[in-house]
Amino acid sequence: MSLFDDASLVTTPNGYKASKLYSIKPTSGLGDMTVTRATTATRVNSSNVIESVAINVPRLDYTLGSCPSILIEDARTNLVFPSATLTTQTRTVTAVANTLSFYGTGTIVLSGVHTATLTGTGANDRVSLTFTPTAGSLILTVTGTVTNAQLEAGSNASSYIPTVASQLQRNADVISKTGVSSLIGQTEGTIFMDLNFTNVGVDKYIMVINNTANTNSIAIRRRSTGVIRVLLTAPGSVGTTNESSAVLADGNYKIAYKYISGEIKLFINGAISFSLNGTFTFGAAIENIKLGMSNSNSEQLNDTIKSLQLYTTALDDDQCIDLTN
Amino acid sequence: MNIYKLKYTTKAAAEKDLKAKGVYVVTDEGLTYATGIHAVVELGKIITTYGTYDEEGNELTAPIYATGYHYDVMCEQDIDFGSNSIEVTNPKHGFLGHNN
Repeated sequence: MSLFDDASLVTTPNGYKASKLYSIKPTSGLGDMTVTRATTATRVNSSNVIESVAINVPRLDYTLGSCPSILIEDARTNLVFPSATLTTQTRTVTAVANTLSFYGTGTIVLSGVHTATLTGTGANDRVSLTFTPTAGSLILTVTGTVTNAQLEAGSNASSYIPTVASQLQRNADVISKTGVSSLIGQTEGTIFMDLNFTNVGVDKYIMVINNTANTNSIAIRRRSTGVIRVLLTAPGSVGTTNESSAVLADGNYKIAYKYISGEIKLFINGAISFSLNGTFTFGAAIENIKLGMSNSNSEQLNDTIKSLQLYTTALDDDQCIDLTN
Repeated sequence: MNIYKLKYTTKAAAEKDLKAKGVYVVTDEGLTYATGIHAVVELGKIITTYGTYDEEGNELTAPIYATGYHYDVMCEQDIDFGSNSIEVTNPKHGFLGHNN
């Protein structure tokens, strides 16, 4: 028997259609994820070309290489237009982190409520600059070739939002599944994820499993400090454990979180990250999965996930090490 | 999917109406979208003519604003916003993949 045989749920960037991301396991369809995004969006396809993705269709993105990943982002608005070939313009910004990005070899000089210069490096290279202006009018003076330009409130450059004659918003990706308590370990279990980790200086959610009232849950987050933090909430007994990994550099990580009363461990890339001996008992059925976001369908990961696997048993340490190696 | 272009006199008036119309709900996590609400975009005051500035960012002429405080709401349900719902011919904001 392989670990794959033992998994109750295996979700990868595989088959999909509008409103659905198919899971490899179980084959019954019970674990297929529900996908909502009420706007179109863009992704980088397997030919390394930016293309539009229809409403409610999950985004299998190839930015990181020849294997796709599930791209999960929050809502963003591209403030500049037309974005295909940017011209000099003035836009109103707020005093939060903003990110300017574009392709091409041109230059954008910022003035007004913020002063900076962003210079392109090539037709196929995306450059970006994150800055916090004062609120007001930001002047973007464009010289040379500036294509697929984007100015957005946020601390990272999100997927390209093409604009023509006005500012346009891409809604958040919402990927979830409800009513699958049979796929989630209720007294013990293991959560495995293979994901890209880019610290953008704000808290983001990697995944959550919980009951509908969210009074019993396991929430895995990427903190602004660059750690992975796991919060287990089980008010029926001891209560809560809230533990962090060491600070992680940006990159791809495989993580496994095993939980059984008296033994809670996080493994990252083949090594144990933390170990706790707290006891717990969930007071309600854990039945919902939120992928790359919080319970309230917010604080999206703004990154990519290659795999989610659930096990209804706490795998032994050697298995977790093998799984995350 | 419905997209409403809304205009209020002030932000406070907007938030009061959006709560009254069931767009926003107050939960333990704060102000959140109600079921069926996909986006509430606070556009605020809309500039019709941008100001001008010198090389050091000093304002030469002030921007000119349209009247009112503006929101875009995207939702599944039909909501009667009354006279706060407006038609625009030159929208300053839209949703990707939608015509308005």
